[in-house]
Amino acid sequence: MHVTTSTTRTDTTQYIEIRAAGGRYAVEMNRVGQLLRWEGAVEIPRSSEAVRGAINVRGQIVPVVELVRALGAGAVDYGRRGVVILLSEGSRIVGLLVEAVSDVLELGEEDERLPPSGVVEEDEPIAALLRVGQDTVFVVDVAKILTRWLPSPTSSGQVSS
Amino acid sequence: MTVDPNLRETFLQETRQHLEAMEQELLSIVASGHATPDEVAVLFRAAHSIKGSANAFSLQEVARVTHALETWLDGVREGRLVLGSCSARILLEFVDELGSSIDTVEAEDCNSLSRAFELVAGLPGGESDIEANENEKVRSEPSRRFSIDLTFCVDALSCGVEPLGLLRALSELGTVEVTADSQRLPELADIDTLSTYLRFVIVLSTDATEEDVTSLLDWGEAIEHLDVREVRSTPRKSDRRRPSDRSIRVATEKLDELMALVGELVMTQSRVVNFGRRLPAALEDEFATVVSELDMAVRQVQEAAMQVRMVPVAVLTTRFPRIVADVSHQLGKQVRLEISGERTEVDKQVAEAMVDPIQHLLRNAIDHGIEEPAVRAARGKAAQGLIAIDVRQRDGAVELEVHDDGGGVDRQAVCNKAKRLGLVAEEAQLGERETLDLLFAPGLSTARSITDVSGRGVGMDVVRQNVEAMGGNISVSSLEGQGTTFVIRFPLTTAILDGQLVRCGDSTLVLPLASVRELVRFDRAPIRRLPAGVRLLRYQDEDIPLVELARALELRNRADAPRVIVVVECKEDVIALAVDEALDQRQVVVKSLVQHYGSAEGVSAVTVLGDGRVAPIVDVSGIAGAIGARRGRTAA
Repeated sequence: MHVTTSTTRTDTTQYIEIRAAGGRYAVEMNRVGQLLRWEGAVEIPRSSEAVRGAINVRGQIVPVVELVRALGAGAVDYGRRGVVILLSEGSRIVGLLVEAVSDVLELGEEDERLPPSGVVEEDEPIAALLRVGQDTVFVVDVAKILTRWLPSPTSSGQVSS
Repeated sequence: MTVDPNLRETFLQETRQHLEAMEQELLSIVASGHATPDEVAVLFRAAHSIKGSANAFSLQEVARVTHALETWLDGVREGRLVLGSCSARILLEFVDELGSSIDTVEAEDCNSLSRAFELVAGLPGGESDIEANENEKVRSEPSRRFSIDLTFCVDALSCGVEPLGLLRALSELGTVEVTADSQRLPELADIDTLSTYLRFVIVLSTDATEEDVTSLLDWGEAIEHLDVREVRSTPRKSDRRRPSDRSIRVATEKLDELMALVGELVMTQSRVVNFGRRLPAALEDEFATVVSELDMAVRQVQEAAMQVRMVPVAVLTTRFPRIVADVSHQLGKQVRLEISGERTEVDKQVAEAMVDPIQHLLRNAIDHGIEEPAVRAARGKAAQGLIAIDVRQRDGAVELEVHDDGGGVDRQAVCNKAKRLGLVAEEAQLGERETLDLLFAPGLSTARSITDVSGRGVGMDVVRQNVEAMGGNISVSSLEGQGTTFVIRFPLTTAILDGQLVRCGDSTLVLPLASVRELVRFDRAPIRRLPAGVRLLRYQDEDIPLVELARALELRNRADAPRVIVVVECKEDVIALAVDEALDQRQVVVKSLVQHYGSAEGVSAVTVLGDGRVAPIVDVSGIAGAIGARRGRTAA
């Protein structure tokens, strides 16, 4: 027997919905470690412009990438209102700076699809599109953010920005 | 029977500690050639304790073999048997054997201990008188060497102590080598001729005992700091209180967790401080007092937690005398090992990574470096070779030097071998550096015969790989006929660093204090401006390049206006870095930026300041290199 409830369906994925640059974005819930209040970060010398700096998370030094810049949009003044979402990608952790976290979405596979060509540019960090009612939510590609904006952990080369 | 794993672990740890204690005693017996009653007593007690707990855990075979040992030691105790260096060596092997088999030994399994049984059975019923006599001779020959670290109080003279007189009195005990450290010397104008500023590092070779030396120097309040240590190839008794004796073992995950919690505490505390700004003025004073107390406590907790990870290098160097004793005995060479800088603290992980490379270098030094006694005599050297290990912190790294006073690298032989192996072209003309670099090439070994110790041609290349995997590097220098020196540098990825904190714009940055030469006020500095925006600072009769640190690091939040110049040096380069402000100097804990971010140019690592904010640690050599390269480009 298949019981369908809003919280225990096994074939659904949970997402955290993000408001950034006037659009709706999301990250997979199972990657999210913690949400922190944005309190500024210390600039990492010679980092690419999407990297807002490094923060100390319980002794670990974690880089913070600003989502709107990673999407190619302009600067935002966060004041004290921004939120840093700690995301894991393999053994690495990256903080994603966003304006606000708005909702938790729970969607089935049928609502998720790969971005059709032309809608998302190649180097844009978008992994998938979600259909939420009449609207479309973009799923952030954490792996792409790491490879595009952070230096590789082993090489000593500089990041291109 | 099956033993509760926890109890079993306790048994294993205890046994290892007893075996370590035995090893220490045995090494000193090997060195002195005869056992003192105290040493025998320690051995006996250790064997007895192992037997006792083995019985308690129903490990009958372990109990039996240690019982056999106990019986033999009892003979020594009663004077029926003699424990000299020969027997001590057998017992060292026994200790190793038992140590490696207790992990696997089960109650009914006696095979794994058969070698240990053989060794005890093979102990001589009594060593010949001849050996004992010979040892007597050897023992009277060498005098003791003490390393004395002595700092007088600034007002020692007014206390009635005359430093020179004290040094003279010391020299009457034996030969004295004095080095004066003038670090505390103030500016010329501030020198008070009646004050004592120097720190003395004295090496005293004497027949006097430590008590004699200490009592001579014990001038109470006139002495600010006094440390007398006997320098010996084997650790001396009072050094044997190693951490294992007074410490507990903690899993590193627990330490990491502790660090994490402390981090959280620091963050919460800074929130409290921010919150306090919103309090009504009436409560401000009281709140400030509470906060400053909290601040101090949190800081201390943080520092203590960080210190937990640090271990003195001594924890790994204690095993080296044993290796040197074994290997040199095996090869029929006489080698003295001197270790200095043992108190240098490194992160436990770094310490562990250092062990293998050093062991390898030691073996190599004895096998390839130190010559046979006869050869040494012919070359006019003392029959006993010297291997010196020195550990120090330098320029934000742990630097470890292994020096031997042996024959040095035979460059021609290395070259020929490399050509034979096809590592270099037959007609190649190699410089000195290139030739020495070949030592690290795979397959190259110049040992004339293949020995047990080294010479299979795997080794130096593996050492280099291991060191580089840690982000370190290894270099070698050699003087033919005079010896070889290997220097390994490990980055302090997790160690503590003395830093000069500086501010550039919103960023606080750390410069490794080891590379900071001087701070100069910007508005008084003799600066020359050249075309193309190049600035030079006149410093000690030389023009050195002056750059803004923020610009060198390409910081986006630019500096306001530089007010201070920090003169830094790195290897041969001296450069001037302009910063907004020089903050305090303090010890900072080095944290990896690589783990989650990757490697950043111009930054060797980061640290976390007291308020939880991150501060990059500047890679001075990287900046110096970049400036040098830029200069090269503009000159070309």
